[in-house]
Amino acid sequence: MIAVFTALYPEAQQLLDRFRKHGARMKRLEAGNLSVWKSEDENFLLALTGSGEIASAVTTARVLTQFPADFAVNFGTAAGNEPAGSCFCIDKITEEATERDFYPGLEWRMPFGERALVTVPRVAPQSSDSGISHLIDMEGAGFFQAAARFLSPDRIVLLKVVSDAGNSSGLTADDLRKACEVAAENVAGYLFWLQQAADARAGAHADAWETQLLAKAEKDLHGSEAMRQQLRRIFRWQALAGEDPEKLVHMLYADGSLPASDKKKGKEVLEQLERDIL
Amino acid sequence: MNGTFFEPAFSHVYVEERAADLPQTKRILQKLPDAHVIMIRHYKDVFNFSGQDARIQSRSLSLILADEPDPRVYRGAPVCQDFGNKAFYYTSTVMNCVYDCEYCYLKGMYPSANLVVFTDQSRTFAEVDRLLALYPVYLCISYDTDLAAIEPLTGFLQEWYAFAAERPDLTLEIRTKCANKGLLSTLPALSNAIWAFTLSPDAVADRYEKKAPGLSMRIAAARLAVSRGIPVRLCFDPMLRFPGWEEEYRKLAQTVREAFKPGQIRDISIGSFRIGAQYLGQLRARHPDSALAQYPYKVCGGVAGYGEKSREMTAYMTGLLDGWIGRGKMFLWEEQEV
Repeated sequence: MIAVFTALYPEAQQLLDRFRKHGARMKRLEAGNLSVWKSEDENFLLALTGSGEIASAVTTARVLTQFPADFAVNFGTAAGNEPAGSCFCIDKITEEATERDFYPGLEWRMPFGERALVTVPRVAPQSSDSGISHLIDMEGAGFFQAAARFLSPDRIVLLKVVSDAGNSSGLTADDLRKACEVAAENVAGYLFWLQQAADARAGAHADAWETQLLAKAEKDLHGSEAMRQQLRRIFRWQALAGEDPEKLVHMLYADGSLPASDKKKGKEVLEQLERDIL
Repeated sequence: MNGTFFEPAFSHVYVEERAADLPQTKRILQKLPDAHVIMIRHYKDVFNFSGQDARIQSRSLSLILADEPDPRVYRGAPVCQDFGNKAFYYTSTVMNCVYDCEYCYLKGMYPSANLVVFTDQSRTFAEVDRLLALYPVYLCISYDTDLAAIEPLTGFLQEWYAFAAERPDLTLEIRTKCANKGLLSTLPALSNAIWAFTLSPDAVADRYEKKAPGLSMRIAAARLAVSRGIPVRLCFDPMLRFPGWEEEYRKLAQTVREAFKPGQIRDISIGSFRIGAQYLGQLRARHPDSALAQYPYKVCGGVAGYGEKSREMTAYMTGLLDGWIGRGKMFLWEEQEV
């Protein structure tokens, strides 16, 4: 599942529309005081965090605890010296208050240009000719730090849409909506692609060798936890080496090695196995 | 996973602020004109960040260029062969390896798969000079990486060769799986720079060393080195145990015996796979689907290996090469040494 976090509803609105347009039926969930939408196929979730680092971190942590995700994406507006509506992937986050830097992983392909982001505690108007190349927001560092408690950096993505040059006083909800409208189609397309990447990732990590029979054999060894782990390691190695561990288990039951009468007998079975097959 | 999901290797380069103005850093960056450069305060902010997925990173390696204030020269570890040298050291001016071999201890040692290059080697050279003032030094410069594989990027071997050429008491060992004939054709044949080629049966190279050149290419490179008078060591280390391992290593020994005359080879090393026990857990986490990583190894003295079977494997390989090369030129790693 791809979990998307936005600070405010005007930033989320365009994305929700695009999800629906592309066939992801987003339904609002009853989740206490959280504002969360989830697609019926459970591929996408969108949560509103509220403004500021703490609000973003708290909601991100709450949502990722309740809804384990493959990727966490922070989507929202930021100030910067770029045309309004342009969207960027963040390659470096500086938390202004602590001067700490954070680096989302950049292994997965990304259709957007990259920029650094500075997360500030409050909006301070910038001079439009300040020449800064980074973007400025109020949530990114909080979101990243919370998400990094749950996911590896390659699974944390920040996408920021430029709303203004940082010299506007009082952006309206309509300003945010308009900025996001320009980028929403491309961002939605990217999120659907990311879902495919998540499927590929999950497939690569699948563990298919465990069966009920093997679990029974581990129990019937009547050994210590360390001995059970040792047997489990042999089964796992056999499966990965292209052998069928169930065949081995059938043999152990057929020749009376299993179930072992006690721990001592179990240890003998284990030692014999290691001599025979390793 | 489909390769198209990932950015190409070195599409991103992290550069430490203090390393940014070093000429060596600029030289490397010039070789990666399309890379996106991200400035960082300290390499550990990226490299040591907790919870990285090195398995995913290995699909799209990033490069980290850094400047290390301390010399990176260390005493050889007990699990490494010292080839009879008392002052046995290694350097680590590059951390991690582009070849990403499935059994490599680096996977257990580092929290990241990304490559760190300490671009300025001058402090390491100064430290080696300090040691050389005390005694002759045997120095492995390609342990925590494969320097030859990244020579087109770093130029580090050229620097080491220039350094070693004027220091006869220094012996370099360049451990490699690289088969870069262009490099071997251009480097001078220094008597105190040994190229140690790791040779593995095709079955091992194909399955566990997927990003490294195959056996025939490594042998061709070693033959070229021999023809140029470069001292060559052949390393049958790590030997791996798998169904049919005896036959695969028999074929490897046969290939080697046909490719080289024994007088052409300085020495050989033989050793079965072993890894620090604390690294094994990391290796297993990174390769949950690897038979090699999940093998039920025996832990003895803090080192995980094949236990009593280790001696059997070493003896088997020794037997295959005995008579071709003298016992005096064979260096064996055996488990009880640790």
